[in-house]
Amino acid sequence: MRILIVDDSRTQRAIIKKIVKMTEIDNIEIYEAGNGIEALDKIKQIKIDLIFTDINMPEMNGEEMIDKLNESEFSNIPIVVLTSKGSDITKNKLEQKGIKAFLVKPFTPEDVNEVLKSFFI
Amino acid sequence: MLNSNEIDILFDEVLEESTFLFADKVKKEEISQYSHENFLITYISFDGEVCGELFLLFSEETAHEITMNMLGEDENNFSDFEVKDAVKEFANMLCGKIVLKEFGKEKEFDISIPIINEAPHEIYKRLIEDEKTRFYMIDERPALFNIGIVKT
Repeated sequence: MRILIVDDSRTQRAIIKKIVKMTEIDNIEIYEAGNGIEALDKIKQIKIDLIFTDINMPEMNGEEMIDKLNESEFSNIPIVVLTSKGSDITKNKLEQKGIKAFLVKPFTPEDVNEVLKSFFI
Repeated sequence: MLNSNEIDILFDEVLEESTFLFADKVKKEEISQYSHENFLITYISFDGEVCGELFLLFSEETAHEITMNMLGEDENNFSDFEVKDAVKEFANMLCGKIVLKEFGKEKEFDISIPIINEAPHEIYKRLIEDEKTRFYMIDERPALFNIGIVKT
């Protein structure tokens, strides 16, 4: 399984990477991108099975990236949104764009595991 | 509005959850003696249905410890970039938690990308004198936290 982590914070990418590798799911390959533009490039090159993305990023933010993906042949890739704000308005807006899973920072390994299980087990 | 004690609890919660460190609330007088240390200052603003700004000041040693614990590493050989990135991420999480707690899930707001820099001593002094600043000790090193929230 190929997972793409999109976050401008290397710290947050490292945290998710570490947590994902600790989960019960085998054969995970992790790829990273620092913003939406880099992520779209990676998605065109590699067959990604799941995306973890931050929303607040420079160059192209997570919401813009989700819009681009929804308009493309990659619209079926499941996306987990990582956010430090838990506002209902943001959540509803993203749900309307097809997002089903959210992780509010700081999250625990258990939270990440639950989300992964909901997609893959 | 969140009261003083609630802000302290939130600060400590986010610190503990993300870095496994603890903050002890202290008085301004106990912090003043550390003015010779090197500090990093992080700034974030938030804007929308609620707006405001947040300043967070950690000693460089605390910033390294935060980085080490957030990344779960035993060795403290991080670059400046890695340390600043970790502290910015901490500030981002703290800002989100506080605004969410203050206004609930109904308010929409955007959080700016955090800015972090070495803090000149004038900034340290100015923050110490600001009545909104809260003072903590984290592993015997000072930390200053200043948040101003405006309802719109």
